[in-house]
Formats: sequence, structure tokens, C-alpha cells
Amino acid sequence: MRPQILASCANCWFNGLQYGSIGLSVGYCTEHKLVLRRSEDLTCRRHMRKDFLLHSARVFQLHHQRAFSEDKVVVMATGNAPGNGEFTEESPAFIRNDSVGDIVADYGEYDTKIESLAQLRTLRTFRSEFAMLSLGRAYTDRCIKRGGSWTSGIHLLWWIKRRMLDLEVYEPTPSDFRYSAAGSLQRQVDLAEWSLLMLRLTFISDLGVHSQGAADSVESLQEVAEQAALETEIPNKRKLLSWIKRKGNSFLEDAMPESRYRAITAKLLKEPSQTQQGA
Amino acid sequence: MASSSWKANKDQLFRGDAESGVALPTPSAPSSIVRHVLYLEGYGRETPYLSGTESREIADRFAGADGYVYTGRPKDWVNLGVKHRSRKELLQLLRGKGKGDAEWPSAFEVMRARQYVEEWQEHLADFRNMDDIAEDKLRDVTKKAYSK
Repeated sequence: MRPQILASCANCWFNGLQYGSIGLSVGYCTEHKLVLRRSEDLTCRRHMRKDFLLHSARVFQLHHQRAFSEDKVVVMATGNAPGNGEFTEESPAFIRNDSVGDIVADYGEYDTKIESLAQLRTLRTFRSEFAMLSLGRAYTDRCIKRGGSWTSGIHLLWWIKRRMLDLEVYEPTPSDFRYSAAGSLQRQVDLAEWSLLMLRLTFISDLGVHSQGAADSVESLQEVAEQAALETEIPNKRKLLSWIKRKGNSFLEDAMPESRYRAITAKLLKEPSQTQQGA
Repeated sequence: MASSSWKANKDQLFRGDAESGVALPTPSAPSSIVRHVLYLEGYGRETPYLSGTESREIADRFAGADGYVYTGRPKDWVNLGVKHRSRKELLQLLRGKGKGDAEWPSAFEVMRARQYVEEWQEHLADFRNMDDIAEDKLRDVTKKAYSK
């Protein structure tokens, strides 16, 4: 198999509409504002793997940029621009027929990006959470690169913490899958639900990395996803949920009790530039 | 769709690759299974393995619109000097921080590799024993391992 699919727009955190076998038949690039009709054939130099923790995604991007150095979407097989509408579509009209697609199409267009992420949060569906977490990772990373603080992700962290404490897990519907994978439908669904839980932990780990050396750091969270993987050993929703209940939530509670969240957000209200920094 | 009844002594594997031919493995490249499955180093990286899947649908996806789906029969690979690393074996190795050729510093990445092996119903053709053969011979073996 040609593994380039992992370096394609289908596996990039700027595409909130697809994640492995999960998602719509088309993706959407929030960087280039393009509907991705054949996301698995496309890439660009900004590509960030959403299946990796932050450090590995950054290392992969460096390798990737040696082969794809131009700042435009290209067809991986040829290195050429996608051209006519076979690969991409400029108008987001089609994805607006989907509730998650409609919000993603507006990401960074009118309101602030955190507003779009908040809208995704309120949908409370399987795919909306994937979109929120995927774009949330991109959002916080961009804020840091532009000189902002890890606290750009503090509300997302809080929302995720609430969902984890409540053991709030969304289940996929048949239309949430793009194609069949794994040996059985039951296993595909289990892996998809596990992926969502692991993506929450990945976002939390990212924030731990971003906060290294900062005042009010949550550095202790950077190992959460790795620790969960080490102790659960195999991808399994039940095992991971049990780990979150036993250990993951304690990590979160220690790093971000409600009193601390309130204190940091109150401070941010006085110094709003620390939150976003033009993300 | 793949099923759990796949048998190495009678069933075939599918590989989506370029229409012009199956990619040439590099027997002397790093042997980590995690590195291979996760496509670390990206475009142009060398690997001693060729991946295949039990599922025609998955192979079609990897072939892309301009590619081709090749077929391979692991039971014939022994005579070619190619080792079959079954999905079952890969899943046994991909636990925790990995075992044997799947040992890896990050449990997260081992787990991600395991997820992909499961989702893609992946098997490997292992060419590491062919370190000392000429490139044209290697090309010939590769073509026989996965043919049109």
C-alpha cells in the first residue's frame, strides 16, 4: 500500500471533517479555504499529521517540507496544482448542507476562531467533537507560533475536562463513516470511539507541551496521552475509558482545578491579548 | 471487506500502488515495524517491507484514482525468499512499547501503528533477507511477490 495517504490532507489537522475512516466524503482545508474532493491525493507544506503527538507531527512536517516546499495545495503524485474541479472545489456550498461542515466553512472567516470552536462544542456529536479537537490543536499551535500563550487553549481544555469528568462519549452514526475498515463493523466503531477519546488526550498533551516554562504552566499534562497508551497497551474504548476514570481525570484535576481555571480566565479578561494573538 | 477467516495458505493479499509498478523495498533500511507502518520520514523514505491488505476496498483506497491494485499470495513467498509477517503476528508485537521488530520508544506510536494494522487488515512482505542480491533480481522478486 502507498502510505502517502498519511501525509495527505485527509490526515492533516487543518481538515476538521475527516479522520481516518471517519468523516464526510469530502474534506475542507481551513488554511487554503478549499473543499477537498480527493483529500487523500492532496497535500501542502503546512501539513500537520493529526494522528501524531505534537513533537512527532513537527518532525514529520520537516521531512514533508523537503518534498513539498511550495505553499499551495498540490496533487502528491505529480506535485502539480489540482487544476479543474476534480480534486478541489472553491465554493463551500456543498459542505454547508452538513451541520459540522457549515461551521468549519466559516472557521476564521467572520468571527474569531475560538467562536467557531465553541459552536462545534455545542453540537455535541461524534464528528463535531473530532472537528473541534482537530482544529483546536491547530488553533493553539498557531497562537503559540504567533507569540501567544498556552492559555489560548484554556477554554478548550476546560470543555474537554468537563466531558471527561462526565464520561461524556459520543457514538458514531452510520453516516459518520467514509468507508469500511477493520475486520468487523463492531471493531471499526470501537476503534473510532477510542480515537475520539485519544484525540482528547492528544489535545491535552499538546497544551502541556505548549505551556512548558510558562507562568501558570500545565506542563504535567504533556505525558497524558503517552501514559494512557503505555498503561492500556492496545486501542480499546472500554480500557481507555477505565484509565481516564482511574487516572486521567486525576491528572486533569491536579493540573486544572476549577479554582485555578477561574483565576487564570479572570486574569485573561484583564489582559485579552494573552488569549489569542491573531490565531 | 476482510474477515477473520483469512488464511495464509490459501488467501491472497492486495496492495494499492502506482500503476507503473510496485515500489522497490530496500532490504538494508531500518527494520522497525512501527517506523514502517506509520510512514515516518515521509516521502522517499526507504523500507525493507511492502504492506498488503486482506481487503480489496482498502487497497483501492491506497492505490488512489491513478494507481493499481496488485495481488500477492503469501504461500508463494517462501520460495522467493520473502518472509510473510501476518496481521496476527503484527498484532502480537504491537502492544505497549512493542516487542521484537516493533519495539519503539513511544507507546502512543506503537498503539497508533496497531490501530492501522487492524483498520487496514495489514500484512507485511519482509525483504530483509535480500540484502546482498542485485537490484534487478530484487525487482524481479518484488514483481513476483505482488503481481498484476
